[in-house]
Parts: sequence; C-alpha cells; structure tokens
Amino acid sequence: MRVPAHWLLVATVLATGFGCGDEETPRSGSNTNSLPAVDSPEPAIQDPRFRVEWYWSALLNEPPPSAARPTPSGEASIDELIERIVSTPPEDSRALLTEVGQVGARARSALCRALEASLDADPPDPENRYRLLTALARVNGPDAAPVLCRLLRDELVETSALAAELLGTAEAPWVLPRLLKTFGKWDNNRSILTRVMAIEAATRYRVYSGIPHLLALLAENTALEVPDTERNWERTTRMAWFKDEIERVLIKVSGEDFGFDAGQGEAAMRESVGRWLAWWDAHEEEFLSGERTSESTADPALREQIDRLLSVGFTAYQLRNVDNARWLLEHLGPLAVPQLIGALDHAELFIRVHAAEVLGRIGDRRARDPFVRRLGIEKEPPARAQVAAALGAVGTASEVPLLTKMAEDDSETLTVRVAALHSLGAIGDLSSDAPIARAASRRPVDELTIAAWIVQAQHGDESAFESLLAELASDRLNDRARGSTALSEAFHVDFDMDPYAEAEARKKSIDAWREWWRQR
Amino acid sequence: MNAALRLLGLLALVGVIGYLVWGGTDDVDPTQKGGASDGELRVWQSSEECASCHPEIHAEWQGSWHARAYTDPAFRSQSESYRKRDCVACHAPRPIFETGTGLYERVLPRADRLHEGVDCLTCHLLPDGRLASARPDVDTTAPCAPVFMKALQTVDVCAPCHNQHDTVDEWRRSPQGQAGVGCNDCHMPVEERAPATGRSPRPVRTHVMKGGHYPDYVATAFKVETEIRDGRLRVGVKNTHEGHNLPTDDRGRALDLVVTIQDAAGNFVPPPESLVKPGQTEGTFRARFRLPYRDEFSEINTQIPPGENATFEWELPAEKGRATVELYFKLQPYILDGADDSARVHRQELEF
Repeated sequence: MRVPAHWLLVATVLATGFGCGDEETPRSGSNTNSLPAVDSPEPAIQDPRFRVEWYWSALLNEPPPSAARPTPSGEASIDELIERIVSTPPEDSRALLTEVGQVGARARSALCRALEASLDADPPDPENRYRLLTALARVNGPDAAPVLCRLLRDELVETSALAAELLGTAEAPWVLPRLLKTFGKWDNNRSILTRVMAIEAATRYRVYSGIPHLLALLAENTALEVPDTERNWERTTRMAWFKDEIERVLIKVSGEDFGFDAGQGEAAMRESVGRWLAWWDAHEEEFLSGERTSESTADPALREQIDRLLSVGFTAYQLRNVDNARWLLEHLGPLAVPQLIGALDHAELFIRVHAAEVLGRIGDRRARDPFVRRLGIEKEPPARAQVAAALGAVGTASEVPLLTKMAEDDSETLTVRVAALHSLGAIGDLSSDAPIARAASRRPVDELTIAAWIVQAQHGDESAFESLLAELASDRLNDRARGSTALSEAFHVDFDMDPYAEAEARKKSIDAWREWWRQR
Repeated sequence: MNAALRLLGLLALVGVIGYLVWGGTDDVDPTQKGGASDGELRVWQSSEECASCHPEIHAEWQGSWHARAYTDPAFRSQSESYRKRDCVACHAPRPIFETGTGLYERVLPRADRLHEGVDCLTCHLLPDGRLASARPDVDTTAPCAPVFMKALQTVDVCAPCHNQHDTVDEWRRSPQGQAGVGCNDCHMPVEERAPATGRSPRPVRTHVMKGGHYPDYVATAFKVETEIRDGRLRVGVKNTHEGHNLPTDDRGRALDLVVTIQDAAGNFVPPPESLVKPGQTEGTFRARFRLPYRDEFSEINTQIPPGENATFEWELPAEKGRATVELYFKLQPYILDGADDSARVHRQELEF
C-alpha cells in the first residue's frame, strides 16, 4: 500500500524528534550549508540573461587594491604621443615608444584607453593595437589588467601572447580567472604561445596548475616532423619555438634544466621530456599544495583572492553554471580540495555530485578517506555513482573490497554498480581482477558485462575486445550503439562507427578497429 | 494543554504542511493513484523496456536525434571520442525530474547506458519510480504507473539542456514565447493513434522531435525575398518560425547565404577583393547566420531573431548575367557548402 507523503513527513519528524534518526543524507532542494559568499551585490536570479560571467566581470573590474589611478595631469601630451604612434610607420615608432615608456605610470591610463578604443575600432586595426601594447609593456601596472584581459582574445597571436605575459607582471591577482580560463582553451597552433604565456603568468601568482598542460604540449609530437613542404617547414619551426618557450618556463619554475632542445634528435628529446615528466611527478604535490611556495599561503592578499575564486566557483554551481564552476575549481586544483571535500556533504545533491567529480579530476589523495566516509552515508544514486567513480582516481588496493561490494550489490542501482566497476579497473590492483571477471561473465550481456569488458580490454584482454567488437557487428541497433559507445569510451578513438550506418560502412569501421588492435 | 494534545496539534500541523508540499502541488494530481503502485514498483533500467507497450513511440524515439545524442559521429568527434566528459550530462542525462525542471536547472550525467543518449527515462522517469505523463487524463492504472506532470507539457523540461545555448531564453523573448506556444507545439506535433498496445487511438505527440537534422523542417523556418533594382541585388532572409533565433541551440550550427554571380557566358564572377571571406572557395557574395562559440572571440552573433528580417545588398556587375541565391544549413560551421553535414535548404535563380 502506498503511504501518503505527508504521513511519511510526520514519521520522519517524529523519528528525528525522538532522537532515533541516523545521519541523514540531505535531499536536494534546500541549501543549509554555508559556502563563502561573493560580497558584491547579487544579480536578480530571474534575469534570463544571467550568467556567472557577471562574477568574472565583478572581479576583473574591481579597482586594484594598491595602485592609485594615474593623475590626469599631462594626459594631453600622452594622447598626442599616442596619436603620433598610431600615425607613424612601425619601423619609425621605436623612439616614440621609448618616449611613452619614459612617461611612466601617467601613460598607462591613456594607453589603456587607446587600446580599448582600438578594440572597438571599425575597421579593425590589429597591427596598431600590437604597437600600443608594446608601449604599455613599458608602463604595465594593475590598472592595465582589464584591457589586458580583453586582449587575450586578440586576433593577432603576438598581441594575445604579450597580453598574457603582461598579466603576469601586472601585479593583479584578480586576473587569475582569466588566465586559468586560457589554459585549456584553443587547441590550434596559433594560440599555443598565448597559453604558454598565460600559464607562466599564473605561476607568478603561485598557481601552478598549468604545468601539466605545458608538459602535455612538450610531450606532444616529440619527434618534430622533417619539413618537406613550405607549410610543414613553418609548422615545424613554430612548434620548435613553442617547445623552447615551454622549456624556458619550466626551467624558471623548477630551477632545473634537462637539456631539452627542440632541434635535437628524437631519442634525446624523448629522454629529456621523460625527465621533465619525472620531475613533475616528484614535485607535483608540493607545487600544487602550496608547500613549495610557502609565501603563497602566507600572502593574505593572494589567499583572499583564492578564497574569493572558490566562492565564485561554488556560487556558479549553485546557479547551475556547471562549466565555469567545474573549470575554475579544477584549475585551482589542490588549493580547492579542502572546500571541495566539505562540499561532499552539501545539502544539494547537484553540488555533492560535482564536488566529487572535480575531486576525482584533480586526483588529490586527500579526498580518498572522505570519499569512503561519504559512501557510507550517501543515499542518492547519482552522488553514490559519482563518488564511486572519483574513488577510482585516488583509491588504492584498500578500496577494492568496498568497490567490489558496490559493484556486486543487487540493491545498488545500475549506474552505481557500473561506476564502481570502472573504478576497480582504474585502481588496477590484482585483487580487482576477480570481481571484474565475474561481471564479464554475466549472461545475458548487460551494462555490467559491457563495463567489465571495457576494463578488461583497456588492460589488453583480446577476448574482451573481441566481445565488444561482436556487439558492434550485431544485427540489433541497440547492441551496435552499445558496442560502439563502449569501444570509444574505452580507447578514445573512433573509426567513423555509426550504429545507424549501412552494413558496408559498419564493416569498414569494424575492420579498422581490428587493425588498430592488431597494431596496438 | 497537556503534552498529548500538543503532540496531536503538531501532528495535524505537519500533516497539513506535508499535504501542501507534496500532495497539493500543481504538478502532481493528489487524487491520482499509480496503477502499479499498489504493488512493488518496477525498477526501470532502460528505454528498451518501454518498447513492449509503446512500440511506435519507441521506434520514433530510436530514429530520433535524441536517441543518437551520444552515438552521433559528429558528437563523438566534437567530444574527442568522449574525452570531454563535460558533454555527457546533456548527451546522456540522468532523469530530469531527479535534478529538477526549469530554466536554472541542469541535468546530471549517467554512468550507464550512455549509448541510449537522451532516452525515455530521461524525460519520463520520476524519482519515486513512477513514470511522468504529459496528459492530465492519463490512465494511472497502466503497468508503468504513470502520473500527470505538468512540467512535461512545458519548456521547463527542455530548458536544462536546451538553454545551454540560450534557445529557451530566445523563446521567452519571442512572440511564441509571449503567447505561450511551447517547444512541444512545433517539435512534437500531435497524431491520432494508439498511445500503447491495445489502447484506443487518440491524439498523441510524436517523439521524432524534428530540428536541425531535418532540412525540410529547417526550410519551413524562413522566407527569402529577393529584388534586383538599380544594378543592385537585395536579399532578405526572414525568420518566420517566431519561436527562437535562426539558427539556434548548438553553436556548431550555421546558416550560410551564398549568392553566386555568373556572367552571360556562364562564367563565375569572383567576389570583389574587399568582400572575400577567409577560406571562401565558393560564391560571389556570402553572409552567415550563427551564434559563435564562446571562445570564438573574433566572431559576432549573427542569428536572426524571431520574426526579424536580415537584409543584404550587393552591387551587381554592369553586364548581363545570372544570380543564384542559395541557403545552406550546416551542422558544423567550418565545412564546405556541399559537404555531408551541409544541406541546401533554398535555391533561387535570378536574371539581371
């Protein structure tokens, strides 16, 4: 018999009131946890145009705490100088640029205004903008940060890269959101330099979460192609230049030099890349936790900025602006871990799920015990699944029994069991093999079987791979969809497999998969 | 007042509050009792399970782009073969009623059955195991214990995914939004048929959910007006659908207006140097309607708002010739006009 909802409420109130309630899993809807608040006025939530970018702009437009606005006196002559720079051919403007630089801080606001005007100019004049920026480089300061942030998007890579570099020396920690946002963006070659400069700029604020991006870029295409066409020559030269820049930043951050030279042979390059990767493995934790740079946590201004960024991140989650929140907290990395661990107990299901997800992405081992504790009390399947999944990123052999129990417990939902199974695979301990094998032998084939095959295939098991391939060859659309998804999920490669495609196209894809496995 | 009376009063108060909170909302009819709810509710684990009673609707869904949301090769490619996990939430969402409906809600990602994409359970499964129906007169004794949920009739159920690129915001500002014409009214038209095996025919919404993947459907969303006067060609593209911008939603979508001029001998007249767009290989004049990705800083939003007309004027060559006016709807912006993911949705020839 269905019990009316209001009687359930009565029962709950009575049970809690008489002290017989266990630790309750908070339900979504009400927010009882107190997260740090952004102390600027809140926009009206009803505004359909509202986006968390409002917070970015609130942070970025904040007057710099230490720098006084330049006095207006003498700006007319600076404006004249700028007029002359704009109207002078680039090769003749060097002396004028020096002159502007010598004017010092008074020039800064005039240059910023000129740059703002240039950004809005019609027709666009990117070359002129770059020249103005080189002038600003001589008088850089905190109040230049807003326009520098806008210039990160400039169409000229020289401008965007220089803007990123100048943000590092602008002594404006509130620009961190913009810098961080640059790390993972823009995969095309043109923008690599901007990313490198942004990552370097962030290290000036003791934020090192961009270093893995640098290492990935350094390791990518380690063997530079022998240029055989003009286009290839350009590309190779450019990549070599980027790699030299990356190495320069790494040397500066680490104080080490592993002799990377983009012009050396492949074996030597691989070796030095390997040494950089080993160096990061050894020092990652101390860099990301702030131990390496004790001044970062001792610096109250920076600490305050980081706390505000955390606050922005959580507020963004509460406003369901997931992409920005996830991106910001993930990039703050270990600096955000204590807050994220706290958020595992948040009243909102949505925040608990995302806190677990970001903790898993950061991969900080401090989250391991809180994950296990949370799994003991969490009742909501989405959160259980996400915590189980994240545990795979930080767990060890000691978590295998718990994950095995979850994967094999019929009272858990399918999504939780699948997540636990994937985590068993991610931990990769020998003791995980038995539960994975048991799941792989389930018949009829279900989601758990597929998940187990994925894990086994990732570990090199050919029969599991063949089983997934058999799904792909099935006459049933659903099986093909399941098989093609599983294979791409497992290996992140894709041979144009469309489960809806005609048989011949599907066969081509299956052949490509098989050949890929053979070569692998 | 003794303790027993106070407790009784508290119970009554809590009961009333409980009824108002859970029993008396607009969304759930408190008089309804789930048909299967007298026994154990079945645990629904896959959209395949729906096919046995709703074969037609299941087949429609299976052929739809909701079903293909995760397996679609374009999505696979854009998510870098599923490396980008941020995409999972909308391409393989957990049941929407679990996280809430409305403009400011977001969905959570599934860990299982990713291949089913946006499936039946995404929109219909309720947290208590019953199934949501958009019909107030739903037969609650059916095996899946359906219950009327008003949100299913409204944009609130679409918004958590489809407002990621502002479509629902566009709709709210549009004439149709102001008039209360919802997503379902255009994208899920009604057909007379049996809602389930063994049931009598009645008006039932289709689950194909036509959109940008259907060129014929896109072609109903605009009107092209052309005029040649005083040696100039004027082309106007009007968004006649009035429900949202054209194109909308996925920022990969683009609608390209291409005017190709040929001289009297049939030779292609190349664009004037000042009008050449980067990468342009086809067309004498071009214009693009598109919402750029947020990191495409050099692009501006050129979508056509509902009911509005985008007009262009170009100078024609002095000699006689022919102008071909075409519109291409592209699922990815950086492809050639005739590529696989590009469909010509309008073509018109004009002599001058």
